[in-house]
Amino acid sequence: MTAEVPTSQEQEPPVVSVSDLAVWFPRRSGPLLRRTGWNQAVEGVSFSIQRGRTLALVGESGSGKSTTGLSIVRIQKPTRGSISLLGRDISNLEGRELRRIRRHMQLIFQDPTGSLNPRRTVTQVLDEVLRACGLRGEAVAARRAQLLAQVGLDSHHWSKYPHELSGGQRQRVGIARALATSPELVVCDEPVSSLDVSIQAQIMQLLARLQSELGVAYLFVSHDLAVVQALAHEVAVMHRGRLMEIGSVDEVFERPSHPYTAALLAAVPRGNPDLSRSERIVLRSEASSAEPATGCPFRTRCWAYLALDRPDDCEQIAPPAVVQPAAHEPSSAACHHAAEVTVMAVDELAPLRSDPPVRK
Amino acid sequence: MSANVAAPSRPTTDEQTPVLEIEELHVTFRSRRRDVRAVRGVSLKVQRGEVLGIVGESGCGKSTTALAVTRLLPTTAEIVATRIRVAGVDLTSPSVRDLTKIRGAKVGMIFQDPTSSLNPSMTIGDQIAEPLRLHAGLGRAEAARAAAELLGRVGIADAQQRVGDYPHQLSGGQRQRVMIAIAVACTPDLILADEATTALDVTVQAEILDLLRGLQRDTGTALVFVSHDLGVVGDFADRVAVMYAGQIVELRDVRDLLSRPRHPYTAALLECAPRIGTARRLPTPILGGPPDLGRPVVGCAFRARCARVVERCATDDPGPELERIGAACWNPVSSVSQGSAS
Repeated sequence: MTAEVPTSQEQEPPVVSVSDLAVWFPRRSGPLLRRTGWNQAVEGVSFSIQRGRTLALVGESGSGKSTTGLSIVRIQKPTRGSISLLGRDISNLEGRELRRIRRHMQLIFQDPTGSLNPRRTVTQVLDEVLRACGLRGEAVAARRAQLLAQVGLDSHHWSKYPHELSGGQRQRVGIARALATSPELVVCDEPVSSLDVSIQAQIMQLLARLQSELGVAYLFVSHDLAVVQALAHEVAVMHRGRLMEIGSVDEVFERPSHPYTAALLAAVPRGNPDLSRSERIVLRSEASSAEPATGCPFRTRCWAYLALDRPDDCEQIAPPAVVQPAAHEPSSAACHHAAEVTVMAVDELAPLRSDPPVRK
Repeated sequence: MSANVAAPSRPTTDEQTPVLEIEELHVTFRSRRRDVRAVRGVSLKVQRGEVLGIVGESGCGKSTTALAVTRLLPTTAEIVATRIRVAGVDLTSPSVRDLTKIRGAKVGMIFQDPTSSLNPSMTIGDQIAEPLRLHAGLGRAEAARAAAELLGRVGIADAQQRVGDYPHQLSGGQRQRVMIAIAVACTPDLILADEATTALDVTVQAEILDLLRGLQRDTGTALVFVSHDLGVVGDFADRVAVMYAGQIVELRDVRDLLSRPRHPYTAALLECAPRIGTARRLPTPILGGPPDLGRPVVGCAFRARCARVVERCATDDPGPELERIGAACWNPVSSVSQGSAS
């Protein structure tokens, strides 16, 4: 699934395109819970995903990656910005029109237990969706059988309730349900995070195979960089609601240009007692949580800001906006010193790419 | 590390006796419908200053093994062992007094979820001071001073001001630091960490692991680190025990185990965990699932998922091979001529 898409396809309109997306939640306090400000969960996020491709959203908890995913499928109403699905602006659709467009975009959740009705069997779960799509009679059974075969669920599981299935099997049901409407876009919100590694690998293989068979585009929300590297084509790194860096997985993982991306990569456990963690590339504590009003909002946590001896532009000028690069182009980062960061990061992160420890 | 916080009884064991000794541990969860044999004959030793990692997937018995040491399992759990010894105290059939003497004093514990493990209605300072007053016999003022010092040692800024905070005023990472401060307060001989970093962001996880490692090295405490994540365990365990279906299937030095796994399950586990690397590839899954431990297991529990299965696997328990070659397997992966368990 890592094969490059031919250039002819890149002329097609993207499956989904997001421009200047913002989601703000009111911050309330005091006895009357008056609105005292806004919590900018997502602020100024733009990207697009082509057919058959996967864009991963990564970041720490609270970075706004899930909120971005939910607002794209319009479960969360965006505060500002536009969302286009197959070239059509859906950011202001309501009611019936919204329901109609929803079949083109589906969700897979982290916890398949919580997202399946415990009183419905696998068959009932799928049939409900298929009937809602307008299928009747024989067609329902035929499509159901096709879907369950696609996700690798044997027929003796069809009459079972969610609690009778294993975690991996439940996630297969969740995937079958998402694919029932033949969507062009599936937002996967931490789809393998709660699974054991042996099962996780099964579901990752399944998602990759379904994408190559059906050409579906994935927006893959995950905190796990190793999973993202194996499954995604492009990656967007979020911090406190803003995009820090965006680019192809190969570029971002091998030549990160934002200090935050480098810090995330540096924090991944190496699984090797002989490799010590980078002492230089570490995020500063969240304690200094107040974001400065001018300059780069990330600099209070930034290691490069210190390494470069507090440059003036970091303090005075807002960082450049990120622009999604074309395939094979270097990634784009919201950093004045991206080039210097890349040099430092490549140097420090080299051991990350080594293989398991060599026997002494 | 100036904090010589209340450590009257530090080296309770000499260098030869292991800090933790478990022999033939069996844990069975009994219910009206059926009995589930969650741990089936686990034996291990941890020396002073050593870090033992226990890895495995959910239901393999790794947490149950750790919790059985301090008897923190539900009452439905039946714990049977030939021997459980911690820091010279026999816990094979402990009295309530033995346990209160051990918990928090000789054994510190860190759990996955600091939110539910901390008392929401007690300040963090009081929670850290509690074991010091109970076990080290410190007075109120003394214990409060020591608690503030400990809080600083686990990397919480402005410790003097934060001792009066309640758990809900802290972030997840800070709460885990408080748990660690409680665990190390009485300078225990052994720390049991059960999925201590699983709920945290990678960046915070890295900080917490560094902190644990630093404290462990400074004090020479033995550490049992239970985790599902081979990457985390591989980073700082000295030896690793891989568990499957209630048994240890491989127990060796971390470098040997990671570079040349002997048990097919360990090898498969290394293959199926996604890792960051130059070659972008999908991990190889292990097909099937673990056996039902509510039914008797004959032969090797992994054989249904194993590519190296031989005739013997169906009939003979490979358990005894663990002692000999470090892996409970009749047909181990790397060729083993003259075995020596690590």
